Amino acid sequence: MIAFRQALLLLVITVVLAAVSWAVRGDRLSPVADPEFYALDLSVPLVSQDQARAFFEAGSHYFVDTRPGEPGERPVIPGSFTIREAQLDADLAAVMDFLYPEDPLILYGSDTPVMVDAVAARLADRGYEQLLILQGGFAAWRKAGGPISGEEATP
Amino acid sequence: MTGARSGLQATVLLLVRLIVGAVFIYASLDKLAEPAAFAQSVANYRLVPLPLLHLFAWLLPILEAVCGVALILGWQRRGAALLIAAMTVMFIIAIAAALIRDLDISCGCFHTAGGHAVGRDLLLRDIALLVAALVPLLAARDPWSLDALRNRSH
Repeated sequence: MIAFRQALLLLVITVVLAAVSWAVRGDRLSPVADPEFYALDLSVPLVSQDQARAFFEAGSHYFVDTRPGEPGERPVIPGSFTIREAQLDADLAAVMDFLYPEDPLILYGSDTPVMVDAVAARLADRGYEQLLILQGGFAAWRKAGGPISGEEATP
Repeated sequence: MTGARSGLQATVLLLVRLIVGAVFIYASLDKLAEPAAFAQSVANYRLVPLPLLHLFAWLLPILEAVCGVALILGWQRRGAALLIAAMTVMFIIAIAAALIRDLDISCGCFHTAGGHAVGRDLLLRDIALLVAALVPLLAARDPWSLDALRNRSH
């Protein structure tokens, strides 16, 4: 019985410390997890906006626009290549001299990762190994103030 | 003879408290430093419901640290040992579930990035830890502890 009473006291201390640390820490987690970020059935991992921005600024990753529609008709992340699911073979053929299977790629769509994941799965089948999906897609990138260019980059 | 035996028991109890407490404090450090990475490690097990994931990932390392410190100091010793035993049982269940479902994940036990892959050796390690946690939980007297010091002063 005394063990349970002591355990209760330690639990209360833990909750108080957790509340204090949550209030003062800058890197605190959101109270509720973002379902998209933990979408565990995706073929490849998600990358956060902050991390993707860091990769962009470092120039360490290539960005791939997977949104349907014609390239050049919409703003994109600067330097993006276009690989759409419906035209995957043709799009891949157009960029195959520039994108190699060992290159790290960040794929993005409009917002949700589901459509992007279809492209990621097919690229993985073609031997691309370092694939990430941009969390929140282009919409979140723009909202976060990420660099945007009005025209599609030509490889 | 009885004095020597009780002295040996107290020494063993102190050693177990220090080792188990240190293990839990060490286990909490990287999780406290990298809460987002630890939340991802927890999510990989696919056991904690998403609405509770961040709450769990925020509380668990603090609970590990609190219990580790309490056990080392011998303060609220039985409560700390009870919580450590409960956490260890939870870890055993999580690892066993991951093994049964053939999940290829890192355990997230001590390091949130990389770290040890989930395997049977981890299961054995946690069972050993559970047995060790039962020692301070079940021991009747612990002369080298804050609890005993407080009782003597009253």
